[in-house]
Amino acid sequence: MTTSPRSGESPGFFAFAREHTFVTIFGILMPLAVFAVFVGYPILFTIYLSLFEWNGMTPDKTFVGLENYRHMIGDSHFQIALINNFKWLAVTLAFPVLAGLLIAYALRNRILPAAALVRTIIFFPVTMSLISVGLMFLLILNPLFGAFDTVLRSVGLGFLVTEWFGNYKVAIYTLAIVSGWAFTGMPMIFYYAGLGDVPKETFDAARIEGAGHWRMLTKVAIPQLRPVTAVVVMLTLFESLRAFDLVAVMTKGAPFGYTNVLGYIVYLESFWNTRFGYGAAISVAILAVSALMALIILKKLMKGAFDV
Amino acid sequence: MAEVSLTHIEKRYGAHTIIPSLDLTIPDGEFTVLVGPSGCGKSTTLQMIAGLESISAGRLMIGGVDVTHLPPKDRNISMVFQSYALFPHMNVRDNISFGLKTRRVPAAEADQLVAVVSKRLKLENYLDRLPRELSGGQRQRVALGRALVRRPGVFLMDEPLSNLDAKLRVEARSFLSKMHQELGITTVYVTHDQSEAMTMGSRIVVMNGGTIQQAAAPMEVYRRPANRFVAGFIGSPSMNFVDLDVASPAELVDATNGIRVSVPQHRQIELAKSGLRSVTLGLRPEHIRLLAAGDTRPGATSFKIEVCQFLGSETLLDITHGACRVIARVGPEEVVKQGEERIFAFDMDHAHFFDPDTGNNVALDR
Amino acid sequence: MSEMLILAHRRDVFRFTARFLGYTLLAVLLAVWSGPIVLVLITSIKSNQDFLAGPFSIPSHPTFQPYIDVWNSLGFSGLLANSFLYATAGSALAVILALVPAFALSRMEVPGKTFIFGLILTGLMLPQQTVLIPLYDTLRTLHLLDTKIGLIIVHAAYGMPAQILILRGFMTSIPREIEKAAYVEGATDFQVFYKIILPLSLPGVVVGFTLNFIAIWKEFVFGLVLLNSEQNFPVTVGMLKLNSDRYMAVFNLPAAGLVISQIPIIVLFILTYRKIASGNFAGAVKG
Repeated sequence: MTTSPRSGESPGFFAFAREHTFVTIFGILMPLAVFAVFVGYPILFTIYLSLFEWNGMTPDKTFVGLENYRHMIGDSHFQIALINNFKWLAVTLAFPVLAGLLIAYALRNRILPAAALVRTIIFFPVTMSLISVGLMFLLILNPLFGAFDTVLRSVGLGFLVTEWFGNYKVAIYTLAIVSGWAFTGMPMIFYYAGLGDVPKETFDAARIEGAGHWRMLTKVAIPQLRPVTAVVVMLTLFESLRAFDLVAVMTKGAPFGYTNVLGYIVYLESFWNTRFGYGAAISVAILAVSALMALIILKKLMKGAFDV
Repeated sequence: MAEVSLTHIEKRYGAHTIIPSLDLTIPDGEFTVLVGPSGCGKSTTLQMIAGLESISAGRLMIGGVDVTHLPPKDRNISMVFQSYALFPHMNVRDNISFGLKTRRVPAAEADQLVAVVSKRLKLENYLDRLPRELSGGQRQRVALGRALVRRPGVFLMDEPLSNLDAKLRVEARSFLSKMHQELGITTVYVTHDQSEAMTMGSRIVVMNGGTIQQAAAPMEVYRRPANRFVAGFIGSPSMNFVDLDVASPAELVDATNGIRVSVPQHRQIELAKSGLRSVTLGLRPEHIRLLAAGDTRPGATSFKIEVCQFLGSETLLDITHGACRVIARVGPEEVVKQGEERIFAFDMDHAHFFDPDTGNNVALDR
Repeated sequence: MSEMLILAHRRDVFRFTARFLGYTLLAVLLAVWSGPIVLVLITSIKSNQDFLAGPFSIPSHPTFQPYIDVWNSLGFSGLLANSFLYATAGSALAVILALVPAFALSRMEVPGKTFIFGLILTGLMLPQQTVLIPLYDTLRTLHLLDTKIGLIIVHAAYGMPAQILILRGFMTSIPREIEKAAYVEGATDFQVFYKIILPLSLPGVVVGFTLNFIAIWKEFVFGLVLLNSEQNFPVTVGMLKLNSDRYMAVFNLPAAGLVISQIPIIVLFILTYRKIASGNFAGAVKG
């Protein structure tokens, strides 16, 4: 192994390829090829397509330049969907991530008993398809047969009851919270594992200095969990951008498009309205938004968190 | 023939040069020990001989063949690692025969070789066990077995005894020495333990900072260290160093602490030749002699005994005169007490003079 | 003396309150996260009349009829078979594709490693909707639209990045010296990969496969867009039918459908839970 596995120098690519042919073909070229076909090409094609009008069936496409984008910015459905995505992200960052962290902390520090049981029950919904979750909450939040309203009324919170899916102001939050309910197990597992790697001595030292749980959480745990938080936030980010399934099964955008999310209107415009060019433009918008958010996250949280 | 020769070997990591230029020849059949403190480059050198680290510049020959750019498997070598590096999912037999299988040695021959080796290493009853079912000493023997079974031209060992407890280590050392005597395979052995180096090698190579400080037989290195580093590194407890001014080639003085050392006639020449104004005097603990009370020969000085360490076979004394502090080695029958003032003398016949700037041994400077 | 008793008393009260709060919190958490599921279970064995009696009514005559009805009307046997095929084949393919890249990235000085990592992360983070259209078009051109093979390939391709990261995490925990020993003993890259690293990575393979299996089973978008015929639908797409007036009037049928769709996952979960929930896959987090 002259260009040995751990030589500390980065050899030229062709020298490496000659020396390690097997690894180069199956370990580098092959995934790159998959990437090119399934990620690179689609992105490029989407961007290309966004400049055209196309119904997806006939081979000819009409070039319209930036018309799709102009239309998009003025489209009220798009605007609502964009805002909805941010609302969704806010809820998903606040609710499942925080809850996951707090629950993981409470479990590790024995504030909560029955750790294994709690972890199983909270993680279980992560394994459910969002279709199932959606159907389940359609039942629970049903205005006539729903259990949730009954529970609220019986504890005297009846005034809170509203049309969870019909009230256009509330509906998107309903969906986001349902998604958060299902997702909480993920951050919880990551934080639970991360807390297991935080040296116990750091907590002991804090406790001797008289710190209570709140301070230990904020001053000892969270700073040391930075790499975990980076991964969790990234996962959450991209989960929220995929917020398609719940919308498709629960509301399909109703009422009046107030529960539309970007991912869903791509689907609507492309496959229902057969305006693939416009759908592509919206896809590009999603790409831009995710790239932007990813960069911000990378800058803020990833300092040295990812050891490549 | 499996002589190993390194010519102008250089190792760079990006902008860092950790081994500037190494030249070393290991004759066929010799047991050479590379020894030095952490980070001195001994392991890196071994890895370069093995082919696990690339050689930035220079030439490496094994058995007369230029192997500088060849992968490990083509270098006719075997290696034993500090952690033994046994394959955890294979039993002892498969571990030992792994190298034979990858070289497509026919099964019958392979089985025979494995049988011979496992017999010599007393592993015949463990052939079907997994590494995790073995003790540390047994695992080490499996690692040895794997290295031996191919009859390599060169044996490379990277601190193979570090993971053993003290008693096992001593046993293993004599086992390895005996094995080398029987088989006569060229061996390059890396350790940070200077006593291990002294007992095992027919030649020691002391390294520091990526360079060879001295390469010679153990006793030579012990008695005629090339420089201050080697002198201080080899020997335990380490050599005492005292900084003195050269009042004249016949007398060394430490005015501040009131020490006068007279230099015997036959040593004055080298001092005079060096032209040094000040010198570092090196003296091993056994060369600081305890004299009877009232002995007034030239050089006899009074020291205070700060600490006594009674080892049973000898006694080590931490002694001071003013700010000068040295360790002396005395026989077990001497009656000494902490806090006593006793008379000591330096045995100048065995003294070493080191240049305070270069560290080199004045006697070896040309 | 009496001060100490007061202090001790206060401490006991504090401990009792703390424990009480702990258990209250526990009850709340359990209620919130298992309540809906329990409700679904109870609902799924209610007869039509029971359901109309109210959400929390105990079924007077528990019956499995809803299960039978929904099984037949939705064609669950086909749906389950399809989902199982997609999840197993897709996962297996993703893992197989990911093994050598994970090996390379975890143990070798690959030129451009950082760049490759970046690409993998991009593949991971890609919202499906952005590739939906081109993917649809590509599959159509290759005549793979509405085929089982097409969907499997798609799932494998998009599952591969996550598998590379997970497997790499596991592989970095294998000591380097074992690999060095293998090279010295004459092994080629392939032999080191196949005979040494691969066997030692099996726990990682199990974890990765399970996670990917669950992800594909849950998956909806690709199944919806890239398939047309009912015979190819996975469970998720098939269940979409349940959100219609016909089924939602009396919820016991959808409830039963939910339970059926979840059973295979529960079985898998039970079989591999220990490996996942102990956070072993968080090794991918630290890299």
